[in-house]
Amino acid sequence: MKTTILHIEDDQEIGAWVSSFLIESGYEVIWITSGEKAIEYMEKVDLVILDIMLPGLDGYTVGQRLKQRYPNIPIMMLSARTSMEDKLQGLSFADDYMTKPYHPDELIARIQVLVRRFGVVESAVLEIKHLRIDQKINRIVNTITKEDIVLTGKQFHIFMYLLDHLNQILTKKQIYEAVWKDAYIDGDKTLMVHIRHLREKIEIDTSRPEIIETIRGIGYRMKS
Amino acid sequence: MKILQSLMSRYLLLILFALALFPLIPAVYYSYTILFNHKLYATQELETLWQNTAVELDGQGVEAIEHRLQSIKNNYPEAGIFWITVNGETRFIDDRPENIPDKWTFADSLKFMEERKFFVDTYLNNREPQEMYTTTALIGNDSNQGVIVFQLPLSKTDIGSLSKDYIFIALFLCVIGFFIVISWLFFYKIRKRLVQLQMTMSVPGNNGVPDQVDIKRMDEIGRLESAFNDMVNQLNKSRANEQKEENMRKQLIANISHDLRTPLTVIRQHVYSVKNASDTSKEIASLQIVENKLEDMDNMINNLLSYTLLSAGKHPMNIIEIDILDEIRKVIAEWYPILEKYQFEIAIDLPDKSLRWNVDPIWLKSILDNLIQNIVRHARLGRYIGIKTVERYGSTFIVIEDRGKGFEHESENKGVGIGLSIVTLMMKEMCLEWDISTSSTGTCISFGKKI
Repeated sequence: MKTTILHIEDDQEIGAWVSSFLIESGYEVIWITSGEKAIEYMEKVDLVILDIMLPGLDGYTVGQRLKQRYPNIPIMMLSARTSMEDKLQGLSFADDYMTKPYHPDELIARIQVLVRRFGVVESAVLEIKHLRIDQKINRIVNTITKEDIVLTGKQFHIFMYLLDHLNQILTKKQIYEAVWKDAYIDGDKTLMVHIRHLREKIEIDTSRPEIIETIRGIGYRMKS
Repeated sequence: MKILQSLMSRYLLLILFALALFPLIPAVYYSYTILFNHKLYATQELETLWQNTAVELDGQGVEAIEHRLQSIKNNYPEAGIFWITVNGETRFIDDRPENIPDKWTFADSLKFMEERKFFVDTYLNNREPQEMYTTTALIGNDSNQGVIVFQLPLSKTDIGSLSKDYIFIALFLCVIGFFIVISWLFFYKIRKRLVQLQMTMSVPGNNGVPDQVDIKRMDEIGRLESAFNDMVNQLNKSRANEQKEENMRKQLIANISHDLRTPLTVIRQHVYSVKNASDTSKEIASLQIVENKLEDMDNMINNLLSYTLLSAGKHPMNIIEIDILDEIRKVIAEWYPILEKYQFEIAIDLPDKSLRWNVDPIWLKSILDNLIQNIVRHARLGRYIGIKTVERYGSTFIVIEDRGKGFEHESENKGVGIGLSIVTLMMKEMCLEWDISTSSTGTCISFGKKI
């Protein structure tokens, strides 16, 4: 089943192009030019792409209303408003904020991240290198050995957090605070030890990790 | 303002009250004596009366003398009157005064004279005065006829009233004390109100303007308070106008930015479409240049608008204490894919500890974005970016290095340096020190907190 995107954009040229681009990229698209009736479509969509400068209700108001009623549907702001205040205001309810002019490939990449994060796809099976991950049933299979990989609670959390932010570099502090729900203490080796044990279970060669990459001086990245 | 509300009028009233009180004190004090009590006898008159009586009684018999003295006694009931005959016998009229012998010896006379002597220097030397006023006269001015004696308590005479009057002095001092206390209270209240006003004036309220003062009385200070309140109102009004203008300006800049970006978006989308449909590498290369230029233009719009806001002091700054190394890591993480795309060697050497600075995190991110963007645009050929910390002047500095051809080299993407102007302004505003050393083998930018 295709992911359905509600695209709210008043500019005809941009709206038409984005809609056709998304359809070409394999999504179903509902394109509307104002936010007033957006709520009517929310039952059938998996993701919302929202502009800020809209006729009538502005994007912030529309976004807040949608998020209030449908907190589990991701909202991505796509706007030519680039100031930090605008971004902060947008991100107070939206799940991502992208500025125009944007790179179409980046748009698709960000949509994929959101779709994964919110688990809106039916088939949640993902392949990363030699791993097959079924997010629905939280199962990780090594495709070479055909064996299930059993992770401890913390290892699983780290793995899933990196997977949710696929291809994104995360600092040690970000990972620690997300997984342990506690303040990161500088120089703490706990995360490093857990990553080492995780790698022993998922990597083919732990001396040359392919799935969880170390970004020296910053943190880690899971690469697809 | 009503005249009675004036501080000056009130103080004048106070002075007038005091001035009126000074003559009033003796008036009130003596009013009882004057109105209800006995009159005071003038000693001068008594003296004359006694001398005249002595002359009148010249050659008179005992009965005539006593009759005359009795009539005087009737006029002066408080007086003690007696006379001494030639034989030294005392003859009393009505009551007998104390300590007067019936028969006078020479020694008695001397003692009596000494006791009744009136000292002129009594008051000057603060001596205890006699209790009795006494005057004597020889009948007919002749020592062979006898002596008539008139005695009166000193307090009943006019010289007696000059005796020490402690109550009067105490009352006088009390009134002066009362006046001093009232004056002190008057000025203390004024001072208290002035100090209160000064305190309110010097303590800024929530929006940086002092709060209004409660006016309790419409006197001179009340009017000053009212004028101060008017000023506060005007300040608040102009602050609100300024805020409104600032918002309008920001809105305008945001709208211009938005309107410039919208056509850029459309161009970029179509370039993408055409690029994907192109077959020849020449076309793709051309479209890549168009894409790059669009990206540059986008950055330039960003920078231009940031610079406009910054130079007008309209860019909001929110200084908080943050871990600067954590912020740098996050910014590098965002830039990492781009740096990788251009095959940069990324050398991050940041200590695994926190380094806390008081800066605006958004401004710091803008600075780092600008610096890294400069490296990506102008030092791409060096394919190296190094970020580390160094200890300098007892403080930790952040160093960002590249191996480009330096600032002197004319880069293909060289602009007017607005990005660096933004960096300079932001560093200055956040009290950060920074310097650039550039050569043909690379550029090194370092910044840190001033000590």
